[in-house]
Amino acid sequence: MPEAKESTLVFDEELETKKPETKALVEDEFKEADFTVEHASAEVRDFAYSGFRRAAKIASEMDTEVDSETKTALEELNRQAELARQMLAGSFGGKLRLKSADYLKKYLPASRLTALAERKNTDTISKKAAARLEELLKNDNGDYEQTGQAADYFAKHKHLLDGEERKRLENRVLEAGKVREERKAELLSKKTVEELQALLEYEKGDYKEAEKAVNYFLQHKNLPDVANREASVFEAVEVHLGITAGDYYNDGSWQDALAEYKRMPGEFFKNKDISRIGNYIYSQAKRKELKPKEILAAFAGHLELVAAGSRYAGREYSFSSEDRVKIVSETYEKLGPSKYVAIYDAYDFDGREDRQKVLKPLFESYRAFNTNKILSEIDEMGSLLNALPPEEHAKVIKELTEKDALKVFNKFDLLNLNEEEVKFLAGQLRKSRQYTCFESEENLKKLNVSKEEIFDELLEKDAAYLFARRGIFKPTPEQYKLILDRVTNDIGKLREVLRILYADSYDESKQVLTEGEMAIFAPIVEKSAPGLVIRYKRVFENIYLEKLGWFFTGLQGLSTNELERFVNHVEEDLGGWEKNTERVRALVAESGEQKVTREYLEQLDGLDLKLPTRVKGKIKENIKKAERSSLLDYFRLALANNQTLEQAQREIQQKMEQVTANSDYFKAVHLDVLQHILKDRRFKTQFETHSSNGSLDPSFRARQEEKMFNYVGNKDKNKRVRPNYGYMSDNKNGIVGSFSKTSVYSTVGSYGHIHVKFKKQEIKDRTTVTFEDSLSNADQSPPTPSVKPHFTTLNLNRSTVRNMSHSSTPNDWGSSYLEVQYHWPLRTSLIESIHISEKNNLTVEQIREIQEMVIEYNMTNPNDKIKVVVY
Amino acid sequence: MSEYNTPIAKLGKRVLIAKEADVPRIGKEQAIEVMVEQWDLETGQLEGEFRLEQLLKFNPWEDITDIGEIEEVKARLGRNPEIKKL
Repeated sequence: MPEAKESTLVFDEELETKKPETKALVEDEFKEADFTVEHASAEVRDFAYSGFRRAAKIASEMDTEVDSETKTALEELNRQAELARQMLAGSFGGKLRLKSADYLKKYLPASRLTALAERKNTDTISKKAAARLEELLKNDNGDYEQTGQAADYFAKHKHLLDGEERKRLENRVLEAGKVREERKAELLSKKTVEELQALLEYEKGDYKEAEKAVNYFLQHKNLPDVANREASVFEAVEVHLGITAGDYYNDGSWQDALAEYKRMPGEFFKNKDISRIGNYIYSQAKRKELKPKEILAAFAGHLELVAAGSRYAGREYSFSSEDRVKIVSETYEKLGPSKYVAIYDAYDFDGREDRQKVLKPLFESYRAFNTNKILSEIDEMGSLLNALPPEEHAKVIKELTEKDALKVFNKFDLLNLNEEEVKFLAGQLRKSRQYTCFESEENLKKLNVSKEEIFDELLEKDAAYLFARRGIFKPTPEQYKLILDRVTNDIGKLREVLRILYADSYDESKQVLTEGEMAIFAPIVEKSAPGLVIRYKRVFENIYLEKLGWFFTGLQGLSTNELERFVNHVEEDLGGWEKNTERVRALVAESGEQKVTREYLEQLDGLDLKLPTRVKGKIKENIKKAERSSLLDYFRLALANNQTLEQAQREIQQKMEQVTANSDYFKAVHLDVLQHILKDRRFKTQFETHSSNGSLDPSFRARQEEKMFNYVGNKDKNKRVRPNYGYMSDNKNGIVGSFSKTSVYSTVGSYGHIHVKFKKQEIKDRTTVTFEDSLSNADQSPPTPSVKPHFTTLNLNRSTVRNMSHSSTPNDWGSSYLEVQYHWPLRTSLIESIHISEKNNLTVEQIREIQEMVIEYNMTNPNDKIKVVVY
Repeated sequence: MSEYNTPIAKLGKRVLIAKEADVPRIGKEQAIEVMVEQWDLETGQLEGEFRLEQLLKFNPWEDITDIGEIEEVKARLGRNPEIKKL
């Protein structure tokens, strides 16, 4: 049994000095372990102490009874050894070499060895430290509660981490710290807002804690969520002070309200609109009929309330001029420039001096005072503006918008503008086209602009001719030419020049244009549209008629207005006169031929129309007249479609013939009328039913029918020999409009819901047609035979030719229905069928009644039986 | 009743009501501008507002000249609570 070596229980660090033997022991014992004294860290010392444990163990196995002192020593050894082992098993301050593990195994229990074995592996240590750190950096609940611990842990164990990992985790720790701070701020903010909201609770009609809310707000306004609540706080203050002052319930004290306002920090009201607060308190004070001086005394130090409280205080309360200046000036100090402006506006200052006093503080901080305001006060501010330092002065001028330029120019003499500022002003005037400012030599000199320079610009801006005509500039011949060249392309401007230079009041006795002037205009007018010639015919006709004779002669008979309208259309909508001259010329030439109409009339004569001779004659006459009067409409159509006149007219012709050829003849009647029709066996007109002492004077229609068909214009004559009116439709049931499975929308519904269909072959030759209501355009769009309608029947101003296809949908081309005029007589023998339907506003009973009516008719007229079609 | 207050024509159960101020214009140069209301007395329904001349052109309306008849029409249109516009 080895002898237990005596040792001293020393745990201090002075191992070398106090226990050289132990040190020597350590050195000997661990020489092979490759430890050196340098490595003799605490672990080594601890390890050395484990020797005591050995000793203790040995001692415990000793048979001999030990004395109490030894026993105590042994117990102490055990304890120390245990401590030593714990220390050894704890954190390492340095690295242990692998070889030392063998030595450790001798003296430590297996479990400790395992722990140590793990710990001595630096990778593992590093990973464990990192893992622990990550765990602390978890943000499960979003507030990084363990961030502080993480930071501490990192500080203590960062040496265990390798370089890259350490950097990464360091950043994580920093980031977590930052987030933690933000979160804390957020939580703080949320809490603060909640507390602020509590103060802003509207309780029993008042915000009683408004004053507290203001102070609380100011204390925490650095927090964004709190700063956002400023408007709410202010509103609460407004209401509270109003209630306190008695404004709401007429039971308050303005003095209390004023006192409370004074207690609130002034910074809260800076740049705010306190007009309501002022109004609440001030108006209540006014009600007590306090004198102006009493008001000023009561509100001393807070005159901004007076200023804000009454927009018209300056006028209605008889404050002296001096007091008003004082009120407004104090307001500026308290509320700041932007609110000051509004209040300044409300005050009516007596004199320039007062205004200057009041405006001076604003000028000193003019940036808050917008430029518009400066300019509107230009009279007062002129000298004050000049009092600003040059760079400030220039800045104000430079802030001028274009629209302000004229205003400033008008006060030019008040402002000591330097050269640069003048140049800037001149530029702004030119940009805003304020050319009147350059109208005189004096102004040109003021603005330092030359005539030539401005003329070129005027020319560019098309204002040169205005200046010329005003006599501001007398253009040289070259300049005159430039002016006219510029306006040549614009017929409006050219006319303007003419109108101005050669006034509307043309005097026959005087020659308006001199020869020289005529020479200038000649080339222009040659190139220009005949519009000029039309308007200034008296001026130009003799000279230029030859050039445009083809136009005027070819279109003779058409009114000046129509010609001008056409020319404008060509100029504005079709690319200009010059571009279209040849085409128009061709159309004019063609119009004389009337080729399509000539053919038509020949064909018409060959038809077996059952129309009275005078009607046929009238129709032909109307066609010729209408073609002439609507000629320019056909021109427009031809130009738009790039067609000849013949092509355009034929297209219309063909379309119309196609529509009528595919359609049947109908008349819409009411049930009551059908009864009479079937009884009388013919259709009557209102001419026959008109009573001489009634209101339904048919004179108008009589005159229209005379125009259209040459029927007698006297309403009282030939009452039976009058057209009856119906319509055409290519719908088999005579519907015109739209229909669904359940209903019919008919454009002829006002005339009746019973559609009488006529025998086409028998009736077609006794009918004329118009493509819209005949009464409105009796002679301009005349009725022509339905079997051969003429293109003049279509009103091109209202109809779209290319959309025309079905007579049942006339809306496609711009009409309500295709109207038919049945020329006398219109008998029931011409009826083929009657078309009725519940969908078309007839009841079952009515349908039955009609059927019975027709049955009865058919019984008495077996040769002219009528079918009833229920659709 | 509306401003249309003067019955002027009838066609079976239908009547035409004009504005009093328009009556003198009927048949004259501005006749085309005269508008009337067409009522169905049986159903009490207003069938619409139309140009008088167009209605007269298409159907043989009869004048209402009898004062009693005029008053009866007015009374019916004024009294009837069922009357509603289409």
